[in-house]
Amino acid sequence: MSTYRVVVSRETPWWVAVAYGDGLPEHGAATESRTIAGLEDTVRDLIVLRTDADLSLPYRRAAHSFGIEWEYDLPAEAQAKLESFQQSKLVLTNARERYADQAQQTASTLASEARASVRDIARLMGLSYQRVQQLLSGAREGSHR
Amino acid sequence: MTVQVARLTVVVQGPKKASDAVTLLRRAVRKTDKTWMVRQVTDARGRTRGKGSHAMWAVFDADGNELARGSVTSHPGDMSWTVTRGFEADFEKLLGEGWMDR
Repeated sequence: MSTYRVVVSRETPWWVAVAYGDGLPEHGAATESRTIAGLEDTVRDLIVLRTDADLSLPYRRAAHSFGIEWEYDLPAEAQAKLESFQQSKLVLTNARERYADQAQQTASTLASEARASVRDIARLMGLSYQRVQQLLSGAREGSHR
Repeated sequence: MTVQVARLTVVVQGPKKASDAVTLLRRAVRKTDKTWMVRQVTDARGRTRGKGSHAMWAVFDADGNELARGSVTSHPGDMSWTVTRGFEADFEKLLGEGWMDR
Protein backbone atom coordinates (compact mmCIF):
# COMPACT_ATOMS: atom_id res chain seq x y z
CA MET A 1 0.00 0.00 0.00
CA SER A 2 1.56 3.30 -0.99
CA THR A 3 1.51 6.27 1.34
CA TYR A 4 1.17 9.89 0.30
CA ARG A 5 2.58 12.81 2.26
CA VAL A 6 0.06 15.62 2.52
CA VAL A 7 1.11 19.07 3.72
CA VAL A 8 -1.76 21.18 5.02
CA SER A 9 -1.54 24.94 5.34
CA ARG A 10 -3.94 27.81 5.86
CA GLU A 11 -4.98 30.24 3.14
CA THR A 12 -8.05 31.87 4.60
CA PRO A 13 -10.83 30.84 4.03
CA TRP A 14 -9.29 27.57 2.82
CA TRP A 15 -7.34 24.74 4.33
CA VAL A 16 -5.02 23.89 1.50
CA ALA A 17 -3.52 20.41 1.10
CA VAL A 18 -0.68 19.50 -1.22
CA ALA A 19 -0.15 15.78 -1.77
CA TYR A 20 3.18 14.24 -2.76
CA GLY A 21 3.90 10.65 -3.76
CA ASP A 22 3.70 7.96 -6.43
CA GLY A 23 1.98 9.02 -9.61
CA LEU A 24 1.64 12.67 -8.61
CA PRO A 25 3.57 15.55 -10.18
CA GLU A 26 6.86 16.56 -8.54
CA HIS A 27 5.35 19.88 -7.43
CA GLY A 28 2.52 17.96 -5.77
CA ALA A 29 -1.21 17.95 -6.34
CA ALA A 30 -3.12 20.67 -4.54
CA THR A 31 -6.66 20.87 -3.26
CA GLU A 32 -8.62 22.78 -0.63
CA SER A 33 -11.49 22.54 1.81
CA ARG A 34 -13.27 24.94 4.15
CA THR A 35 -12.79 22.55 7.07
CA ILE A 36 -10.03 20.20 8.16
CA ALA A 37 -12.67 17.48 8.57
CA GLY A 38 -13.54 17.85 4.90
CA LEU A 39 -9.94 17.58 3.74
CA GLU A 40 -9.50 13.82 3.89
CA ASP A 41 -12.30 12.99 1.40
CA THR A 42 -11.14 15.79 -0.86
CA VAL A 43 -7.50 14.72 -0.78
CA ARG A 44 -8.43 11.07 -1.41
CA ASP A 45 -10.59 12.15 -4.36
CA LEU A 46 -7.75 14.19 -5.81
CA ILE A 47 -5.19 11.38 -5.44
CA VAL A 48 -7.57 8.86 -7.05
CA LEU A 49 -8.14 11.15 -10.03
CA ARG A 50 -4.53 12.19 -10.46
CA THR A 51 -3.25 8.60 -10.30
CA ASP A 52 -6.15 7.09 -12.32
CA ALA A 53 -6.65 4.62 -9.48
CA ASP A 54 -10.40 4.59 -10.20
CA LEU A 55 -9.80 3.12 -13.66
CA SER A 56 -8.64 -0.21 -12.23
CA LEU A 57 -10.67 -0.31 -9.00
CA PRO A 58 -14.19 0.75 -7.95
CA TYR A 59 -14.01 4.35 -6.70
CA ARG A 60 -14.63 3.54 -3.02
CA ARG A 61 -11.90 0.91 -2.95
CA ALA A 62 -9.55 3.10 -4.92
CA ALA A 63 -10.07 5.96 -2.46
CA HIS A 64 -8.95 3.73 0.41
CA SER A 65 -6.19 1.84 -1.36
CA PHE A 66 -3.45 4.14 -0.01
CA GLY A 67 -2.32 5.71 3.23
CA ILE A 68 -1.94 9.39 4.03
CA GLU A 69 0.66 10.99 6.27
CA TRP A 70 -0.59 14.39 7.38
CA GLU A 71 1.76 17.27 8.05
CA TYR A 72 0.55 20.68 9.21
CA ASP A 73 2.37 23.81 8.19
CA LEU A 74 0.89 26.36 10.59
CA PRO A 75 2.09 29.82 11.64
CA ALA A 76 5.05 29.35 14.05
CA GLU A 77 3.23 30.46 17.19
CA ALA A 78 0.15 28.36 16.46
CA GLN A 79 2.37 25.35 15.68
CA ALA A 80 4.27 25.75 18.97
CA LYS A 81 1.05 26.06 21.00
CA LEU A 82 -0.44 23.02 19.27
CA GLU A 83 2.65 20.89 19.91
CA SER A 84 2.75 21.99 23.54
CA PHE A 85 -0.95 21.15 23.94
CA GLN A 86 -0.44 17.72 22.38
CA GLN A 87 2.36 16.99 24.85
CA SER A 88 0.11 18.04 27.75
CA LYS A 89 -2.65 15.83 26.38
CA LEU A 90 -0.28 12.87 26.26
CA VAL A 91 0.81 13.49 29.86
CA LEU A 92 -2.85 13.70 30.91
CA THR A 93 -3.75 10.47 29.10
CA ASN A 94 -0.87 8.62 30.77
CA ALA A 95 -1.81 10.06 34.18
CA ARG A 96 -5.44 8.98 33.70
CA GLU A 97 -4.36 5.43 32.92
CA ARG A 98 -2.09 5.34 35.96
CA TYR A 99 -4.88 6.79 38.15
CA ALA A 100 -7.36 4.17 36.94
CA ASP A 101 -4.90 1.31 37.63
CA GLN A 102 -3.98 2.62 41.05
CA ALA A 103 -7.60 3.26 42.06
CA GLN A 104 -8.55 -0.32 41.21
CA GLN A 105 -5.51 -1.85 42.90
CA THR A 106 -5.99 0.28 46.02
CA ALA A 107 -9.70 -0.52 46.37
CA SER A 108 -9.01 -4.18 45.80
CA THR A 109 -6.14 -4.29 48.31
CA LEU A 110 -8.15 -2.41 50.97
CA ALA A 111 -10.98 -4.91 50.50
CA SER A 112 -8.79 -8.02 50.65
CA GLU A 113 -6.04 -7.02 53.10
CA ALA A 114 -7.84 -4.64 55.46
CA ARG A 115 -11.27 -6.29 55.07
CA ALA A 116 -12.65 -2.79 54.61
CA SER A 117 -16.28 -2.37 53.52
CA VAL A 118 -17.24 -0.52 50.35
CA ARG A 119 -18.31 2.52 52.36
CA ASP A 120 -15.06 2.49 54.39
CA ILE A 121 -12.95 2.21 51.24
CA ALA A 122 -14.94 5.11 49.75
CA ARG A 123 -14.19 7.17 52.84
CA LEU A 124 -10.47 6.30 52.80
CA MET A 125 -10.06 6.99 49.08
CA GLY A 126 -12.29 10.06 48.91
CA LEU A 127 -14.56 8.48 46.30
CA SER A 128 -18.26 7.70 46.20
CA TYR A 129 -19.21 4.19 47.30
CA GLN A 130 -20.80 3.63 43.89
CA ARG A 131 -17.42 4.31 42.28
CA VAL A 132 -15.70 1.92 44.72
CA GLN A 133 -18.29 -0.71 43.83
CA GLN A 134 -17.42 -0.25 40.15
CA LEU A 135 -13.70 -0.50 40.91
CA LEU A 136 -14.15 -3.71 42.87
CA SER A 137 -16.39 -5.25 40.19
CA GLY A 138 -13.78 -4.30 37.60
CA ALA A 139 -11.03 -5.87 39.70
CA ARG A 140 -13.08 -9.09 40.15
CA GLU A 141 -13.77 -9.28 36.39
CA GLY A 142 -10.08 -8.66 35.74
CA SER A 143 -9.00 -11.46 38.06
CA HIS A 144 -11.52 -13.93 36.54
CA ARG A 145 -10.15 -13.39 33.02
CA MET B 1 34.90 36.83 -5.81
CA THR B 2 31.66 34.88 -5.67
CA VAL B 3 28.99 35.71 -8.17
CA GLN B 4 25.51 34.67 -7.17
CA VAL B 5 22.95 34.33 -9.87
CA ALA B 6 19.34 34.50 -8.78
CA ARG B 7 16.80 32.95 -11.10
CA LEU B 8 13.49 34.75 -11.25
CA THR B 9 10.59 32.34 -11.35
CA VAL B 10 7.45 33.75 -12.88
CA VAL B 11 4.32 32.43 -11.24
CA VAL B 12 0.66 33.38 -11.16
CA GLN B 13 0.07 36.38 -8.93
CA GLY B 14 -3.32 35.81 -7.36
CA PRO B 15 -6.06 33.24 -6.83
CA LYS B 16 -8.48 32.60 -9.68
CA LYS B 17 -11.80 30.92 -10.23
CA ALA B 18 -11.56 27.44 -11.76
CA SER B 19 -13.52 28.58 -14.83
CA ASP B 20 -11.11 31.51 -15.34
CA ALA B 21 -8.09 29.21 -14.96
CA VAL B 22 -9.48 26.89 -17.66
CA THR B 23 -10.21 29.86 -19.96
CA LEU B 24 -6.61 31.01 -19.50
CA LEU B 25 -5.44 27.47 -20.24
CA ARG B 26 -7.40 27.43 -23.52
CA ARG B 27 -5.97 30.83 -24.45
CA ALA B 28 -2.37 29.79 -23.67
CA VAL B 29 -2.80 26.53 -25.60
CA ARG B 30 -4.19 28.37 -28.66
CA LYS B 31 -1.20 30.72 -28.56
CA THR B 32 1.27 27.84 -28.29
CA ASP B 33 -0.13 25.45 -30.90
CA LYS B 34 -3.39 25.86 -32.77
CA THR B 35 -3.76 22.10 -33.32
CA TRP B 36 -3.78 21.27 -29.60
CA MET B 37 -7.06 20.87 -27.74
CA VAL B 38 -8.12 21.31 -24.13
CA ARG B 39 -10.64 18.78 -22.87
CA GLN B 40 -11.98 17.76 -19.49
CA VAL B 41 -10.89 14.27 -18.49
CA THR B 42 -14.09 12.31 -17.92
CA ASP B 43 -15.13 8.69 -17.57
CA ALA B 44 -16.17 6.59 -20.57
CA ARG B 45 -19.70 8.06 -20.42
CA GLY B 46 -18.47 11.63 -20.38
CA ARG B 47 -19.20 12.20 -16.69
CA THR B 48 -16.89 13.95 -14.23
CA ARG B 49 -14.85 11.29 -12.46
CA GLY B 50 -14.61 10.82 -8.70
CA LYS B 51 -16.98 12.35 -6.19
CA GLY B 52 -17.13 15.59 -8.12
CA SER B 53 -14.97 17.84 -5.97
CA HIS B 54 -12.34 18.19 -8.71
CA ALA B 55 -12.26 18.57 -12.45
CA MET B 56 -9.33 17.25 -14.45
CA TRP B 57 -8.33 19.09 -17.59
CA ALA B 58 -5.83 17.89 -20.15
CA VAL B 59 -4.17 19.15 -23.31
CA PHE B 60 -4.21 16.81 -26.31
CA ASP B 61 -2.31 17.04 -29.58
CA ALA B 62 -3.96 16.67 -32.99
CA ASP B 63 -3.61 12.87 -32.78
CA GLY B 64 -5.41 12.76 -29.45
CA ASN B 65 -2.30 12.08 -27.37
CA GLU B 66 -2.44 13.59 -23.91
CA LEU B 67 0.37 16.11 -23.44
CA ALA B 68 -0.31 17.33 -19.91
CA ARG B 69 -3.06 17.31 -17.33
CA GLY B 70 -4.02 19.32 -14.30
CA SER B 71 -6.78 19.59 -11.74
CA VAL B 72 -8.93 22.35 -10.33
CA THR B 73 -11.51 22.30 -7.57
CA SER B 74 -15.16 22.26 -8.64
CA HIS B 75 -16.63 25.04 -6.47
CA PRO B 76 -17.63 28.27 -8.24
CA GLY B 77 -15.62 30.70 -6.07
CA ASP B 78 -11.99 31.73 -6.07
CA MET B 79 -9.57 28.87 -5.56
CA SER B 80 -6.71 29.35 -3.12
CA TRP B 81 -3.47 30.64 -4.56
CA THR B 82 -1.82 27.24 -3.99
CA VAL B 83 -4.45 25.38 -6.03
CA THR B 84 -4.30 28.06 -8.75
CA ARG B 85 -0.51 27.84 -8.76
CA GLY B 86 -0.70 24.02 -8.80
CA PHE B 87 -2.83 24.16 -11.95
CA GLU B 88 -0.34 26.54 -13.53
CA ALA B 89 2.56 24.26 -12.56
CA ASP B 90 0.73 21.24 -14.05
CA PHE B 91 1.04 22.77 -17.53
CA GLU B 92 4.29 24.67 -17.09
CA LYS B 93 6.46 22.16 -18.95
CA LEU B 94 4.14 22.46 -21.93
CA LEU B 95 3.27 26.16 -21.91
CA GLY B 96 6.26 27.73 -20.17
CA GLU B 97 6.62 29.62 -16.91
CA GLY B 98 4.03 32.22 -16.10
CA TRP B 99 1.58 31.13 -18.83
CA MET B 100 -1.39 32.05 -16.68
CA ASP B 101 -0.56 35.73 -16.32
CA ARG B 102 0.91 36.19 -19.80
